[in-house]
Amino acid sequence: MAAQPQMLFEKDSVFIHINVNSHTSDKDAYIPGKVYLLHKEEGHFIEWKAEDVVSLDNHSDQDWAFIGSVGYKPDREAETGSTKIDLQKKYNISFDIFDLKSFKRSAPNHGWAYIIFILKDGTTYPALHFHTGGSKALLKELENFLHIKRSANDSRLFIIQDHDPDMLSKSFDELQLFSDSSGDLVSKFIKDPYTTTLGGFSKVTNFLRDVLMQPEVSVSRPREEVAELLQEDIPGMEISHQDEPGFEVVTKTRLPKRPDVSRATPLASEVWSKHMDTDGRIKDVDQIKEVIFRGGIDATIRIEVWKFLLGYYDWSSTYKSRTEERKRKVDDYFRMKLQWKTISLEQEKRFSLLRERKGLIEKDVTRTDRTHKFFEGEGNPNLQVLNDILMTYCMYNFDLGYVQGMSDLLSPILVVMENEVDAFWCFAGLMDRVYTNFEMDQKGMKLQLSQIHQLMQFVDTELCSYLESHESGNFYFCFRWLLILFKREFNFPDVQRLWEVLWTEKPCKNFHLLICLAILDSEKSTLIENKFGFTEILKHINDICFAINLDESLKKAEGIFEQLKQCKKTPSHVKEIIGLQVTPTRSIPKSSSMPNTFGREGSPRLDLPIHLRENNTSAPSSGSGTAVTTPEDSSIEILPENTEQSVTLVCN
Amino acid sequence: MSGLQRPPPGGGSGRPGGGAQQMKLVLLGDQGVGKSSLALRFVRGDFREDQEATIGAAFLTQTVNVQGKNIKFDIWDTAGQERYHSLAPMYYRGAQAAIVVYDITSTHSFEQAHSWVKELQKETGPDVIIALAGNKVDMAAETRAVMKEEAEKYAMEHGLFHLETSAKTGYNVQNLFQTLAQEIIRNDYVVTQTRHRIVTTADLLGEQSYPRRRTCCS
Repeated sequence: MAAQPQMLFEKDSVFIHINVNSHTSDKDAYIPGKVYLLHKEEGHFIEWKAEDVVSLDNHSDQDWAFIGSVGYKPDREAETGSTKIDLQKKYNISFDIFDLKSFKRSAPNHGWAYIIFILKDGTTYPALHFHTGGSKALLKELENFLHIKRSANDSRLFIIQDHDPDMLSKSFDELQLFSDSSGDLVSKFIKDPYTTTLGGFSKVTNFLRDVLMQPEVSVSRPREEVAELLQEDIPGMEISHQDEPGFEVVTKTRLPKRPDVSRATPLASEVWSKHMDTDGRIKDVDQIKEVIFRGGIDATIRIEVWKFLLGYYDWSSTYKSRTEERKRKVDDYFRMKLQWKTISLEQEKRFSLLRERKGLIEKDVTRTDRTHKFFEGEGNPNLQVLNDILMTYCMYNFDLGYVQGMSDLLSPILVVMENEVDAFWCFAGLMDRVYTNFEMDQKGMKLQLSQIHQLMQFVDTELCSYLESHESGNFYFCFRWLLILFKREFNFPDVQRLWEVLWTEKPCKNFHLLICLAILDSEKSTLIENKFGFTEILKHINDICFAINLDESLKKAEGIFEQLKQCKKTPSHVKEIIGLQVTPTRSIPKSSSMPNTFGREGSPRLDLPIHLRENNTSAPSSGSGTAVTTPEDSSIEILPENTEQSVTLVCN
Repeated sequence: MSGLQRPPPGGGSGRPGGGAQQMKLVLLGDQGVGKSSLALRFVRGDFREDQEATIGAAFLTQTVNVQGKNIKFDIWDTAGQERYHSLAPMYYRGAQAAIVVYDITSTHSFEQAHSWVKELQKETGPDVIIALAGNKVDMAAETRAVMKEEAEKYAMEHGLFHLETSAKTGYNVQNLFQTLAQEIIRNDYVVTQTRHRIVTTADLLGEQSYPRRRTCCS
């Protein structure tokens, strides 16, 4: 018989905060629980158990009301007690402390302490919030079993030291300092001697860092000494260990210091109405976009403002023209809806492509945001609306069809619009911006992944080369972020906020790529000091969803933009990605308004004023119904691939 | 405070599961056949009817004990839709095992499974063990579209092992992974001899002949 586990530590009032997937509330819900350190037969375990689980055998409805309200699958099965316990269990945590790789503590000025545990395989648990203290005591207990060391670069990060004999025996040869799967070095060097060289050098630092951080070497050494060692070993290389996040390394192109930027309050209803003239035209589009960029939009007027941001209405439209436009859109929508609705079963039997799409959509609709109030419960009529919009979009853009991920993009829009027709056209407007993500050849995705790479190569050589040398230089771990615009990474209110910020196309083109950089910057120490490889990086990045601070990420991303803008040495291919440089071949008014301005040549173009929607910042063409292709469809020449200009920077 | 005796700092006691043999496994198959659900049932013992579609890929780990050996599964769970097919090689490269999943209520998904098997057999080495899993067998009574015999015949011909599973009820899920782990262990001994493992996997098809039971106890 198994022996009873010995309780070495126990603390109650330890909460997991979960996002309420509700559009009515911005508040988090808390699940109360207890944290334990247990000595079991198999080893020492940290466990967290929801307090309710114990009492669930005779469940009270109150427990369930709570669970329902936080957005868990309140479907038919949730009516049985056992399923409820299963759901509670979902949050329960149990891991062997020897699987622990590191943990993050809350910043000292945070209201109460929390700890995020990260395992060796990259598993990242939700933060445990110690509302009534106890986190220190737990960590003290842990210190009896583990060597814990604070990260030199991130004061919140603590690394468990363990023995990894492989590391020390690694020779420099194995490091393949200048090998790179993505192309030959010479051409890379010619193209960009600067980052290629430093990238190679910083692999040396990565190696040294890995070696020096072995317990045999570093446990007894204060971190200053380690830093000194690093400096001694590579004469002439500049290594700075500033404590500010981001740029502590080997880089000689100093970007200017990242400026502090601030966020503001959302665009309020009064301000919005003040921006309209008597006919309903928006007076200063740029200014209104600035307000939205800085603080988002008040939830009460999203339903209206999003229509402008997504090209449903033109910024210069009047009340009157909008009424007409809406009528036209309603008619047009139902015309297209009728097209697939009127296909009989007999016809469908001989229409495999439609049948297939119908099947794909059905499958995804039933599993899209079912924990959100708007879509929860069996037979929820909103699921039908979701389905019908996606089916109609197939008729609207038959060449693209339905691709997984689209339902994720539609769902928050439908939640805001609460109307089938409006949601459809706003969704179509969003798809116009991101459809290359969904094309068969995935070229939009590939391009963006390579753009992140190019940006990071310049902004953070150290992290870039770390990722490259850990099979992650393709940045595929950002795939989900890019494909559905961080939809799975944030709760609904945050996603809505983020999207409206992005739709302003401020402060630059491809701002979402800088947000990727900002989030990765925040995770940098965790990735590097845990020595995460391809799988761990992907797992960690997948696991931090709902744990990313949106405002911080937006601020940091804007800060990076300012740095790139101010830096005199920003290479032109980097500038082009974020639209800081106008191609010399043709004068284009400002930067293109498309966030993803790549390869539109093979794009399926259908009738309708959709073209106008894309360029809503440029002067509107007169009759909004004239669906002419604008000669300014400038995106093709902005393709940054194979930019020929040799960068004139020299490592001086 | 608990004044209990503790091992010395540094964790002197041997790590349970230490030295587990790592095994990279990839889940492939059509959209909505239950790849993520199979993985989650195996790893967390959980099932959600409304498990959201996988975007990109997910990664899970689980350690099982087979014949006294610890096998740690590194499970790559991929997005199913045809459109994302081009990403798959990144995940099946270097895998020791693959589970190609189809939905027994969809002939289309079974056809897709064929093309996955074909691709795997073409692109990966002969030592990759491929399992063919017919999921959603809990729905067999009402909506079965792929006959078990048909799938078994196909599996036999292609040197795969086949099981019908239900991520919802948990039916055969442990069995599926356990069998793969067993195969890996077996493979370790025969790998140098056999170019194709058709013989060994074909053994599995006659369920009686395979000593599967041995793994479950102990």
